[in-house]
Amino acid sequence: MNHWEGKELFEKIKSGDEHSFEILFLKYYKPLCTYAFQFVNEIEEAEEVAQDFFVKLWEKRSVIEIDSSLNNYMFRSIKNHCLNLLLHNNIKNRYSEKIKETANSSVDSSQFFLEPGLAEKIERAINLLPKKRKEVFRLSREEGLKYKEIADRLSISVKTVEAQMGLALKFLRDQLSEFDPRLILFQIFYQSNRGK
Amino acid sequence: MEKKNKKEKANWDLLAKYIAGEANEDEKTTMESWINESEENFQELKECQRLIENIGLYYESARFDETNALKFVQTKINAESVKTNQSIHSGRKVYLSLIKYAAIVLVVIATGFFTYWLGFRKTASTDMNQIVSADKEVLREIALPDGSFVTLNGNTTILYPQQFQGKTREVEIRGEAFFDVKPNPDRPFIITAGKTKITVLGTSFNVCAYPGAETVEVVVETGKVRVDGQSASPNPKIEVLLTKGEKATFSKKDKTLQKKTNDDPNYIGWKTQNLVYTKSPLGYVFENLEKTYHVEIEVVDPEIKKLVLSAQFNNKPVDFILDVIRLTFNLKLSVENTHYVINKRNS
Repeated sequence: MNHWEGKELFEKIKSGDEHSFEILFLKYYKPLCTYAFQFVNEIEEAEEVAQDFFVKLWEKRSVIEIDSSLNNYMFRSIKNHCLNLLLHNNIKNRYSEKIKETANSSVDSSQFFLEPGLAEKIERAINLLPKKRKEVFRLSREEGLKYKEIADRLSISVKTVEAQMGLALKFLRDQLSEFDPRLILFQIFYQSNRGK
Repeated sequence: MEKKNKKEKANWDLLAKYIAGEANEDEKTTMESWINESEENFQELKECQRLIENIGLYYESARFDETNALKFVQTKINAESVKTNQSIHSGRKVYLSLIKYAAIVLVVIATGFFTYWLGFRKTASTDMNQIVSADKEVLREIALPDGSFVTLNGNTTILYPQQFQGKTREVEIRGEAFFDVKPNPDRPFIITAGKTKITVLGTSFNVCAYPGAETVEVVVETGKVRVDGQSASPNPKIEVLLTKGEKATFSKKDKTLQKKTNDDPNYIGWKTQNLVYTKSPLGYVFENLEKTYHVEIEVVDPEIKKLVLSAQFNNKPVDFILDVIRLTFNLKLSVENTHYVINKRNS
């Protein structure tokens, strides 16, 4: 959603259009939860933060003024809410390092969600992996298992895990390489030349 | 281009290993010299790292279910009209003697989320009733369709069907509640609270589920209750059977379920307002009072929390209890609305 689409949608929400609220919710719920999760590290809590945000957005829609973009406003609100929450909960040491890291990181992970369609493309690419490779990759990246643990779980050798992971990385890199900024530049250049 | 592909081909396994933090010292050295070889290689590593990070975020985001959450948010937004309902319910209070019904008493503390209440929710969601209690309000003995009763502690939501259908009676809870369940061995009463399911294999019980808690706790007074926790995904479901005086603790973080004897006599104090302290540190007493009476107690000097109290209070107002504590330990007490401040006298 670009700046103007966001502005238009939010104007409709302000005027009490429930359908526009639903559109916004369905589009941003997952990204905002994922973003909140970076701070709170608890699925339920992340959902609570995101849900609270949407409830408040609706209840206070008439008084909310957004001077930046809707995108920025949403991610910033979630971030502030999370940081307050953590401060309030007198955060435990186990998370504090991660939080500092997340709060200060210059490459904000919310950027990920601002690349239109990236999540869908990742999903499509992962689903193109052969079954076994997909499972090896999922166990590593989703469940965070070590190679050894994956090998044990699937009764295969660590060498096989290594090979599968390598192949998966190569495949996904190829599939998703259009997000490489250098290639995008290349495409723009190519297309503008072709247009001549 | 051709040359680059060849070079990378040899490195994919290693690259994946390196990014996953699986490379040993030798491999790290190999990778580092590869990275130092050219700016191109360095950029390739960066790109792969970014890709893997994004895929990680994708996996994370896939765990959230926006459709169910939207329903929940919409009900929450409509809570104003629900609150009107609730006052009708609380107007029709039915006071039952505890002894008559309470074959089982259990307490659950959980971060419950409606999102996780799948299964029956989908089939019955159209005919669901929802009752929400306000922040510091206790709604007593609300009648459920099967003749069971529920008492809600503050800031609690219960979701139940207008009619129980099928072989079970299922409700969902977020917050804290006490159930008096009508006996019906043919149709078990099941409460879903967060990632835990409590099945009452008999008669009556009490559930309390507080958002924000790290654990789910179930305490049984009498009777028999089964608690099912959702374990880490690859493992099978975990469950324990509880009988009188036993307590199950489900840790949301470790996904473990532990059974032990309940040693907190005041776990249901929020409902009965009968509180017993036996050589209890004031730190515990204050926490207990905060929960029971929905007040805030600020202790200025942490040393005060170490003082030990033995006392019993039956249905006394919190001001009375705090006054007793103040006189017993010669403390200073000030109050504003529901916020109490306790300090040493000489400071």
